[in-house]
Amino acid sequence: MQPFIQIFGLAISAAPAAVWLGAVVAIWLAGRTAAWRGLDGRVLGDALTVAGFGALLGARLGYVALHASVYVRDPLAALALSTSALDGAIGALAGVGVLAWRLRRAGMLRWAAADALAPPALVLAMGLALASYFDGAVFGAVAEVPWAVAVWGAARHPVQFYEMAGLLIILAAAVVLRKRALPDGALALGAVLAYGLLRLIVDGFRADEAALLAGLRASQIVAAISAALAAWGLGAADHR
Amino acid sequence: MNRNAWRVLSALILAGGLGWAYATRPQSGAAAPAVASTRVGAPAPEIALPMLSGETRTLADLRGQVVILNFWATWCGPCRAEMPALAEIQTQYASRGVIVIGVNQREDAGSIRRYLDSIGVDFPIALDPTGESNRQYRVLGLPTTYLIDRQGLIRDAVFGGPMARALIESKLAPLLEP
Repeated sequence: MQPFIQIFGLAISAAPAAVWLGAVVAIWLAGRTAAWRGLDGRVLGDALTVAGFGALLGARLGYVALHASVYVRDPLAALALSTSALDGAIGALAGVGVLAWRLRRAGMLRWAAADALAPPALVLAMGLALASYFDGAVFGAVAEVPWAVAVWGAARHPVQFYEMAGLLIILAAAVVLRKRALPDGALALGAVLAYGLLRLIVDGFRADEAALLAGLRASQIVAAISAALAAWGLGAADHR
Repeated sequence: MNRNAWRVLSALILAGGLGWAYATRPQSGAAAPAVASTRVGAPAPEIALPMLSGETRTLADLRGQVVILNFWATWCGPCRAEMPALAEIQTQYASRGVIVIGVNQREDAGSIRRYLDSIGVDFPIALDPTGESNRQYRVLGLPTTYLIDRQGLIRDAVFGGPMARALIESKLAPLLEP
């Protein structure tokens, strides 16, 4: 767990590197999937790149804002090259916000763009799952299955690899379905539905101390609601 | 499918999903294995630290204090760069029960002393001539820093550096709350 690499004196841990790799592949893929819906791949790829930087900036500003009392005494520390001073949730919100803003400016804020962004989003989710494995904070329940991995002193369900395998299947389904005459938004909503179900199932094999809501894992509740809303949306898209 | 079929499917997903979430809900006490490891939330692996000053300290001796365990070496640039920040933290927070311990990686005491004298850093330095602490804490690169709370649990880890003083303080703050 938690290996990291040093490049020119800059320490980069494997988890952020996995996120970066996922983001780079997602941006590359967006340039190609845009054509599926007749969109300009360069514009979509650029929007995603800017959103990536927006996410990074948002994550750092979010972290600094949450710890303002210490950073106000040393504002230049906010510029430090460290992946430890990032707030992931605020970064994700900032990234989505910047992406929506860029797409709106380009006149592409519509369901067709969401369809084109679904495969890159699945690839990014793979990067995040790999990062989660490197990070070691999320781990599976103790298991006696042949494919169990040794994590924190026990053989456990490799939950991140379950997730990555599921994501690959969803991605393959998206590639197969891209040539079908689906209504705009169907591919994106289908991906949300499938990913929601995947997380719902996979998170049931986790054993880490997750955030709870009414005694249930918050991630599973969000996954169930997202999947249900996506199914509802698919019904609406089917009859537009 | 007609629209009603989609709505029924949506309701089934929600109900079935919440049912599965309930069936697989975390059981209290089962989530956190109490075995010592470098996992955040786990008890910190116990180590005996031969100090540069001559005595030997164990982490158990430091229970009740917040320990910043910094693995470093004189040849490591980011380690050297964060030394002043760690020294400042030791000076400012010692009265609040914080202790910084720099665990040097396999260097001889003479060269460590010469280096520390040259930069005027005086927080406690431990030696790890055999690399045992390194192995116990799965140090795969330098610097590596663990923050251990007053109960001896690992509460945060920073891999790589150099750490700015503000970063260390931001990680330290939750551990100082009563």
